[in-house]
Amino acid sequence: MAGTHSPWALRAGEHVCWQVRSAGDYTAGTRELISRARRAGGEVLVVGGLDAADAASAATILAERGETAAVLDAVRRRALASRRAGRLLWVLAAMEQLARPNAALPEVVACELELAELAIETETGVLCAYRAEQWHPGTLGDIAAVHSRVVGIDESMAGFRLRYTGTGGYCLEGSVGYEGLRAFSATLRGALDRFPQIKLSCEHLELIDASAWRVLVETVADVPGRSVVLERANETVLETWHMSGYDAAGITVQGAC
Amino acid sequence: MAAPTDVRTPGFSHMIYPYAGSQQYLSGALAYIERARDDGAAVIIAAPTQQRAVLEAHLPGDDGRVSFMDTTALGRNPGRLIPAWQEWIGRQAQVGAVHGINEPAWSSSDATRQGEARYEEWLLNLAFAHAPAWSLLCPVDTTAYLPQAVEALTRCHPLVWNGTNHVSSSDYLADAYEFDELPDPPTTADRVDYRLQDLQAVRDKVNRWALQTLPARRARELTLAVSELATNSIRHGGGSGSLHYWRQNDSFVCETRDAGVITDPLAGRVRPPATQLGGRGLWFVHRLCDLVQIRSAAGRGTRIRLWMDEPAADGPDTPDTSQR
Repeated sequence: MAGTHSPWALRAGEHVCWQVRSAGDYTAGTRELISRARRAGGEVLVVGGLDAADAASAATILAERGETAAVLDAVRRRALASRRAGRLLWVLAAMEQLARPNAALPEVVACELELAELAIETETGVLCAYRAEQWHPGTLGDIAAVHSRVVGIDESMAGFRLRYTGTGGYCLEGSVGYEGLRAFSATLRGALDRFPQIKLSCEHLELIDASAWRVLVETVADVPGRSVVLERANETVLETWHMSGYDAAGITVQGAC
Repeated sequence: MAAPTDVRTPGFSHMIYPYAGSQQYLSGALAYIERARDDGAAVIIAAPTQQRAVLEAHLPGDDGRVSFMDTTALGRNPGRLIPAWQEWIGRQAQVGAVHGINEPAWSSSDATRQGEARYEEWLLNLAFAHAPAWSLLCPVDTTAYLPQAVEALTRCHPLVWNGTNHVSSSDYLADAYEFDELPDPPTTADRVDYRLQDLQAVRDKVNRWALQTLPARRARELTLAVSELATNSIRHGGGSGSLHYWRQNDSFVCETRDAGVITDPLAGRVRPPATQLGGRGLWFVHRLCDLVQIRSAAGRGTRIRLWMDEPAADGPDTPDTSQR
């Protein structure tokens, strides 16, 4: 699902996962990102650590653990200010500064969903850096699912992507199968914690397997009063929902026509 | 064959009716319907268009007790027969006894499909073992089958309709079903081994292959069916499995193998209750594919072969897809 342009050129509102192989790769990638932003007349806001040599070329907010909400608020204010001023801003988030690397997946996903919203609402490109040696491989395998693409090592396990599109809407792409259940459950639950009703646009969704339908039913049942609408689903998605025969309040599946 | 049994035997009465020609078909079927009416039972007839027309032309006035079911909704997979009858009798059984006539469109189809249809007939006895009283007549045109095929079908029915009454069948396979062996995949078949991390790659591979000639929807359905089987291998078959896939005549064929054993012969053949979470993988597979062959035994593991036909062969009768 990687784009064909340079991996370091972020589009407005794009939320990208960077799985970093080594400290050297992190330094090189950061410099490339800063260099590209500068050539485009913008700057990079780095959330987390930055080499002294690079500090002069990027505004840095140093995040202390446990201050995630405050840091994200600060990033949001800065991004909005840049947008109002018509300046290009990209955000590089060293994720170990925003979530504990040993945290359960839902905690990391919650942070990512907030970053995804921030990206769309402020029209800012956001790059989330995960240094592979610090994170559990399972988390790295799952977390790609809440980004629009991955750069660096691609250890993506899940075959789907859930992209925020604004105002409680998400785009669900790819195939939701057994290998992606943990990520699917965490992202759905995270999204339902943020909005009472989420709309999943399924134009680019291939299929949902039986185990994933079950997870959807269980997740929605777990948060009474919340609901999920799958829109523009293809015939296979629509048919398998009917086939599954679940008596599930809070879930609506609508076809493409 | 033993002596006639009471037509009002409680439970499920499943009988074969071997007939030769339309006259014998008509007389036996009408006698069965008349018996049902005498009992005050509703009659549900699932038969191809031709047989339906014959019966409709000879049935006495419509008393609202006879209904015809659209068997085209069953598609080409005999594995959809049990839930269809569960649905058809479900409504009627609440108001009284039901007598059914079962002659799906695949009855005269190819040898591979005939074999699975025969197994489905046998499974009907298990599926409705604890059902309220109802009977099912399965007419078989002996002129359209080889004698050994009629004999094999007879062994799947506990009762035989002789045109006026039903009698016990001494040939019935009450305890165990003997499957036709699956031939090996052709040597030209592609093969891929899989574990959890390979599921998406398996789906991508199958979808690209199926898109050679299948429309996107059918390719997606085959992909999903294979994904369900691979998932079952990972969850219940030792964590891994292998997939063979090849073209055979007008069909795309996929076979998964793993070390697991399916102990419930009705798995995937009975609609799961709405409130039951899970248990829908094989159910999807049966609904999505044109034919499903399951062979599973302790010590031998599980092989499941899926067939997806090209749309041009969408009618009930297609060229022989058997390798034998």
